[in-house]
Amino acid sequence: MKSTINRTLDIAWKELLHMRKDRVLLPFLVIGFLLELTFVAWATSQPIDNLNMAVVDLDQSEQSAALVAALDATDTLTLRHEVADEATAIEAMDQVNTVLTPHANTILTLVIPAGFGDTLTSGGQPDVRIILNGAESVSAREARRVAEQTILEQGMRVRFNMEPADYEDQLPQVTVKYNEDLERSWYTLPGEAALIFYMVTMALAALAISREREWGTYEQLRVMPFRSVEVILGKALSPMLVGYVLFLSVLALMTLVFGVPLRGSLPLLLIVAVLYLLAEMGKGVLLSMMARTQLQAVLLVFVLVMVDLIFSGYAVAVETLPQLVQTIANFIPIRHWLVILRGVMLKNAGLDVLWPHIVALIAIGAVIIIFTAWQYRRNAS
Amino acid sequence: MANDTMIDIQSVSRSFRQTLAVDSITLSIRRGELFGIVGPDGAGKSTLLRMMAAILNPTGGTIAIAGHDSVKDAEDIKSIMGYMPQGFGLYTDLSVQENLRFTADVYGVTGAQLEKRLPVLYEFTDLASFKDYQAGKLSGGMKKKLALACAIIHEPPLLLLDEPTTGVDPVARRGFWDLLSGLHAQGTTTVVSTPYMDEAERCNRVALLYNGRVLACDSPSAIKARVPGAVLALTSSDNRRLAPLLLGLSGVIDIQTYGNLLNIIVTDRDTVRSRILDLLDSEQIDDYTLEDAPMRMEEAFIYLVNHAEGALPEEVAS
Amino acid sequence: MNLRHMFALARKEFYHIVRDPGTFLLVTVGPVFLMIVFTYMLTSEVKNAPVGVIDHAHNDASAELIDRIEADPVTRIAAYYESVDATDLDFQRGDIVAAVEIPENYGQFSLLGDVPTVHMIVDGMEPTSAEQVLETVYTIADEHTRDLAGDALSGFGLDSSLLDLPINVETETLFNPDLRSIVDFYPGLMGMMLTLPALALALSLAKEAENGTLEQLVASPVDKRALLAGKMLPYLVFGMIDVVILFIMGQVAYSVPFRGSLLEYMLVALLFNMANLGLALLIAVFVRSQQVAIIVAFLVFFVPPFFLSGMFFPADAMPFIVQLEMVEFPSMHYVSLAKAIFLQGTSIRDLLFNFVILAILGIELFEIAAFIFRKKIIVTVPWRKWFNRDEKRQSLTQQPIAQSRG
Ligand SMILES: Nc1ncnc2c1ncn2[C@@H]1O[C@H](COP(=O)(O)OP(=O)(O)O)[C@@H](O)[C@H]1O
Ligand SMILES: [Mg+2]
Repeated sequence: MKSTINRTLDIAWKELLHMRKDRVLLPFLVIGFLLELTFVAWATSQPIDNLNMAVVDLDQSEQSAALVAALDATDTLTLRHEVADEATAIEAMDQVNTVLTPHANTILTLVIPAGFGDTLTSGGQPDVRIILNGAESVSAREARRVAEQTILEQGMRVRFNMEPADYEDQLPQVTVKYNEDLERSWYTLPGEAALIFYMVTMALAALAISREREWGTYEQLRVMPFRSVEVILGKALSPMLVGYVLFLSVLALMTLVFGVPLRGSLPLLLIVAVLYLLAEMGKGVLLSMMARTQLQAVLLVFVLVMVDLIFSGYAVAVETLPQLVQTIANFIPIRHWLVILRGVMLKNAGLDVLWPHIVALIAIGAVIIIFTAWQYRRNAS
Repeated sequence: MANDTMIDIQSVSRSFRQTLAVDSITLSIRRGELFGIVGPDGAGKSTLLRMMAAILNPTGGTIAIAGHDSVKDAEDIKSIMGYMPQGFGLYTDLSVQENLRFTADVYGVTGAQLEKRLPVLYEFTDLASFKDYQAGKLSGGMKKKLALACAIIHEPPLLLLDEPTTGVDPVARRGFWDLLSGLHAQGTTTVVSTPYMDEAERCNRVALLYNGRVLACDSPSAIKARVPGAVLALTSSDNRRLAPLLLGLSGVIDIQTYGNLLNIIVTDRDTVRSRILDLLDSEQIDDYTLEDAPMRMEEAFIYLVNHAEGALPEEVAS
Repeated sequence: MNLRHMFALARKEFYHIVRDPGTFLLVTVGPVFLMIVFTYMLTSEVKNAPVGVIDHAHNDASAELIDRIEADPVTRIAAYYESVDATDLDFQRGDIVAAVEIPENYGQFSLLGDVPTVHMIVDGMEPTSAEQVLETVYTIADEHTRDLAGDALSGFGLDSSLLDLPINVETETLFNPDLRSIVDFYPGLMGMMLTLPALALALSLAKEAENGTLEQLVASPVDKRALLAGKMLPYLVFGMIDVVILFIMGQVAYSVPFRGSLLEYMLVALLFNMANLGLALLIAVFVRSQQVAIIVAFLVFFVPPFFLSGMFFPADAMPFIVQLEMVEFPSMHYVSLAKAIFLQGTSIRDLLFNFVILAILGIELFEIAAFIFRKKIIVTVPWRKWFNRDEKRQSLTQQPIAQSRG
């Protein structure tokens, strides 16, 4: 009589064979997703800068020229056009640049009215107008923030002869923790990594049983002398293996190439990753049992991924979601995993801080696997 | 090439990575023949048929179907042939009628021609009352009949059928072969592959395929005639013990077990018969029957396998 | 191209779609569902972010500041601490996302220009909401300091206009006055939703390969371009229905402005749909199993368009080589065209470059797929062994020939 472990490995081996025969699959998965991550990392780690700025300078004074120069000197804004009047400027914003960089249209137009310089030097409060291109809301917001700050600084410089350093201590002091430069990629990359990890493993697991059903080999599997847990773990093992390898490569890529810090304990991360995988696998296999065809399995995975995307903190911090959503989120494994992953990587959080999430992962995983095993057995009768 | 040749296969090979599925086969199939390709699973039957159907290119050699080269003129071949793949190649979520009409569209059978053809096919295959059934819900035999109906919808002069009776109950199998005989009578050149030796008997000629090679290609009776000697049928109370002993007798070529019946192929009927009787005597077995039995394709095939050149094929020998 | 073949295939495919609830939902309800999920994700604004307070002042001014932070919808006061160090654990746990340290002399101004200011600490882990919280708390603190300073100036008998900003900035926003992100993402998102019919198409072709129905098809005289076009056609129709539904949904539920020509937009959507489906065919022609098709489709359809089409992260900010790469993805051109037509009312004539590329992709991707597609069977089907095993089992019960020598 073979041991449970042996029989589990039997099934896992068979699954690995399926995968091996699908020659495209493994290299594709690994290379494809790493490439993907590279692309995303690259794209999202770019600061929003060099946004196109147009200027309508009706003043043509020393002061107006200085203001324009100050704005142009920022990383965010770059002076591209000097336009004669406001109407032309608005018309120009309507136009869309068509060559290669189709989004390269003007994001911000600065209108400096006549008399600006005189008013400013004589101690009055001159007006300027900025016109934003709302079709690019992300860029427009950034452009506005930078423009307002620069205009303020320039005003202080001309009117009070004060550099920012001179009045710095009169403004609120700011310290940013964990992600000191507010690098967007430090947040998106772990999220992306978790999503890839999650999608691949779950999709593979979800197909594991529905595939047998479609091939007609499911019945055969059921009549073989396997215990339900053995089947489930066996089915989950090879997707887990693939998932884990993928996870390790993605982790290496993130930290070594894209410079996301790993401030906490690596062993902790590696161990918890297994717990997380178990929970996701269970979910995948459960879906797989519910689906009659591979297509249905994919659909279920798809719906689940979408739902999880909202609840998990993948794109938006969970803390910012409505209370009800936050409560529901606690039942979703990836939500805890993301907290743990980001916590360990960025915040140097340890067991003392993360234990509730780890406990939650174990609890959710256990419930899912037990439920799946029960479901498998129930299917039999 | 003679005008009455439908399929001309010249030293055709096909390998899949390490596997040599078909190993330089040369065959010629005449117009109007009912030709059987017989062999166990993995012999290369499907591979050979797929190459004839021009949906798989040979890695060596050439195939000409009615004068068309299977690689260069693949599309010409496709319109003059009906092909039934080994698996169910039709759509399980379409009804019988929808499947037929879809196939008709693809083969360019339309309008009045189709309306005339459909009743004939329903009648021929007995599918009329299942017209609106989902194809997936038909029984195995029905599915094969539907697949056949689709394959002959355009009245092709050539029909290629890959294991049309595998997974079908014996009654339905017989019915299916009656349909094939009907088509044969109408002059359709038919190539059928099958793992069942008894079916081979219904063909004009058969090619015995084994490990990608043709062991013999002839009419069933001629093939059987190649086997020297005769067949003796033995029933006894203790076949299990007897079988190895019998194999040890000189003059015994092979033994096949059917329940409590042993078919013994022997080189020379009379001398070996007496040796067997001696053996039975010395083993003190007296409740037995030992009779002459007709030579069947099955025995012939196994004889040919065992006496083919090269190593003894394991699957059969074990 | 043989039109009869194409329509036969299209009719058959249509039956498949409507008879399989999964596929049917995928191409009809799926896009709407997905759109709701995404718009929800995108429009969620920071609310009630937990803020910690370290109040060294304990005076009226500090109490007033705390009240203002509590009152702002973006923030709420979650906890009080004695020192900055004491906040560490709660920061790590994520129990607070920002902390405000109020100095002992807060609210006490001297004529020498001493301005006691607060110190704020922000958890930068998630930059987008961190920025929002930062900006909110910063503005509250800054305004409060100004108010206090104004009061102080009046107390000293001075003119509080000294505190006015040196330059007054008026802001006007074109196309999307409130800078609502949904407005500029919606046209692009609509395109993303068309991924679903494309996914269904890729799966459908892979399924034919797996189930062996493709073997029957390739053995028939069907024209291969008609075969692919016929399979694609129903998905194209469903895709266009999706476009119409999503368009109406955008107008009604999200009040997304539409300033361009509806006809032109539909033309763009049609081309994009074709390009997407062409890509799906290409995937399906390359990879023959459903499993692989799914993964490839996720990769090709989801991730690049999302991150790279400039929807969330402006394309301007991307390295040139990435932008160059994106030229090959239909989604980039679709997003440019759709946004311009929706928000700016631009005509295709002004965006000829993108339109032409999209049109080329719409036709070319299909042609490439058709060019690569061979009417041959697939040589390596990984589970053939399992099929055979199954059949072997059946034939064992019916006197197989391979049994011998007892
Ligand atoms: N598409 C394929 N890819 C790889 N190997 C194949 C393929 N088709 C057949 N084979 C191999 O070729 C050999 C002959 O197979 P096949 O022609 O299907 O035999 P049969 O139809 O007689 O059972 C087998 O060993 C099989 O594994
Ligand atoms: Mg076969």
